[in-house]
Amino acid sequence: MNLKSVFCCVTFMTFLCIGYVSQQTAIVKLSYELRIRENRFNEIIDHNRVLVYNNSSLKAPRYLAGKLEQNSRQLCLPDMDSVAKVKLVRRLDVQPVKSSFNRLKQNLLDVFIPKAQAALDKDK
Amino acid sequence: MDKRAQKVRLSLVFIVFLVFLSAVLVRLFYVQVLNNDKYARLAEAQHLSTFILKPQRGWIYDRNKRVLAMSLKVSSVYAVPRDIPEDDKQRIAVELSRVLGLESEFILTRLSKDKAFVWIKRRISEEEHRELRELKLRGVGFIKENKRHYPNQELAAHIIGFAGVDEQGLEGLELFSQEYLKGVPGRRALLRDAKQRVLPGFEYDFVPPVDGHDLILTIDQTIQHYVERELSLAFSKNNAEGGSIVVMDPFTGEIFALANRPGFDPNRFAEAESSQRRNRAVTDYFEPGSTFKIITASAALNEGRVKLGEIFDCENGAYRVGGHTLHDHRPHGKMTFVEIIEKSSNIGTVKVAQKLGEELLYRYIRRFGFGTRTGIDLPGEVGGFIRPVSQWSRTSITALPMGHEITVTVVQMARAMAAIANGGYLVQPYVVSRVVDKQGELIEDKSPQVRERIIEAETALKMKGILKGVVEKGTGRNAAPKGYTAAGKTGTAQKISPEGGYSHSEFVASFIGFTPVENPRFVIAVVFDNPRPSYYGGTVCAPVFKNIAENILRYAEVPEEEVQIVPALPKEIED
Repeated sequence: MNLKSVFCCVTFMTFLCIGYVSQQTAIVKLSYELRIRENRFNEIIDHNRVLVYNNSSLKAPRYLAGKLEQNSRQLCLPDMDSVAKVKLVRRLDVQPVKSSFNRLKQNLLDVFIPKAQAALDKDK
Repeated sequence: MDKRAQKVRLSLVFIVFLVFLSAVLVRLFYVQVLNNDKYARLAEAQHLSTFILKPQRGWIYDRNKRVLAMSLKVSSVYAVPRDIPEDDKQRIAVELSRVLGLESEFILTRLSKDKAFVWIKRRISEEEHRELRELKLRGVGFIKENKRHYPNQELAAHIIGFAGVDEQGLEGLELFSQEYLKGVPGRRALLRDAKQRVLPGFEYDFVPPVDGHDLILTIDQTIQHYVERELSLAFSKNNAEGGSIVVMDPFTGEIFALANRPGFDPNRFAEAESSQRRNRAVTDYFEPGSTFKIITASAALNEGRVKLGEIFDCENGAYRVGGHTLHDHRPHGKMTFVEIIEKSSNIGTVKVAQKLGEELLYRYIRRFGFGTRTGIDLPGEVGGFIRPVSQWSRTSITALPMGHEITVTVVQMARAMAAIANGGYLVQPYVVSRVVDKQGELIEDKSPQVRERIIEAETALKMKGILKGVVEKGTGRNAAPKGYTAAGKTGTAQKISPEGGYSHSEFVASFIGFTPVENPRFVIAVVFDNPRPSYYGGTVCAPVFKNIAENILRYAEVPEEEVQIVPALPKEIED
């Protein structure tokens, strides 16, 4: 048997195995990273909900009425004759013109953006 | 010779080796092929853990997307008794007892169990969590769980209801709409290592949870607040046993507000008694008294049995009929049909009913929806009670037109008044407008399209005029809102005495009306159970109607109308 070919075979297998193990290690590392980010994301979501709750509580009519009473204030709805309505006209923001190259790049990127990311962008 | 011996020895070694190998192969075959499933299951049980992923319960919003009910993640405390040394359990029990306010005996019993997991307390407060975390107690851990929160506390409590410890709806919309709110749990199977630590990246069988749908109600938080404020004031001022107010759109049946007293805080529902949690507007029935005269009057007009200017003799306050004597609160002589309703004459109403006849009266009572549930999307609704004509007594024709011998709910009375306000249609009252998912996409439009014509438009118009007169110059003067027109009917009904017959000291006071008259925006039904010392609908309920109407009409930016100022009647207005 050719010793050189055996040696090459073994070397190749060794590198293959090392590659496989490092790949698995990378996967596990990434998974931990993802898990940490997922937990962080969930914490932010939970914190947001707490803020929504606090905001709703502060805007609760009973709470506001109590605050007014504490400060000896009374609010009353005005007579409709005393109210003047002003019409607001929304000014259109001028969008920067995208170059055709940027548009092409954007379209190509859209092809590869995962569905979740696309949904996130939609929510924005 | 040597060679032969050598051959024999080699063969023997070979045979022994072969036997050993065969045994291994047989065993391998037995384990790997014959018992493959069993051992695979064992391995799976050891290394694979399936976690149930709880969905987020749907939130409840008012019509302007203001939060009425929501879920937040809170910590629950658990212990792993096997990880806690025996001599440390007492100390840990004492610490937990101090922070959580539980009996240390109870906690010690839990810690003494030979288990890998025991709950200590579910859904603790943020302060308790912080304090326990700082203590770093061995074998004590935290799990995040959802807990229902109601940021407006008592506001709309009877509509929203409440959910229990495991986010299971127990009352109100939390119960009625449980199927929409609960969501669908998911699951995730993960590998664990030898120390039972989860290995991320080795995930099997991931099914994401589907969060519950959100409810958008017809309730307006601001109108609800106005209603509850006035209800609370009047409830305590009049020492009533109970009170209910319903505000609805006469054309669509949308309920803008529904309130009851006594009330409760759904964040602390366990502390409330059942009498506080009861949604009286749909679960309690009562004899309506004079407010029911609108049904008799509408029926008589619609059938053409009476004319507006027709004169009736009200017998100066005493009328012998059906074997007993009927009385008015004040003696009246001859009155027109309109005046009979404006001044709420019992004798006049009975004479109108006699012209109408039993069959027709009963038919119109059923047409107006009495005796059956309205179908409102709240639990526990009752339909009230009306006997069929075949079971009426000689005196039924004298009692029913005045709102006795029949039981109704507040929502039914509001709906009946809405039929007059909207030109003759019976609408379906409802509180859930739509069901949406977490992304805001519409899942179901719950607004009912059911409308049934029960009286002619002309009849409704005539009734509007009559009921406007009740507020302008009749028993409902205290209900006239400043700057707006209103129409309605007062009611003061004797309650049935436990000893039999009607009580002379206990009454149900009511005022049901709508405003403005020309283009009605709101129907408001106000009912108080056993108010004291004053018990007349015109005195107890009409001012509440007025205060609510003034506030909500301005809030809804309804332009003021030119209204003739009519001097107020004396304090006690009888009907």
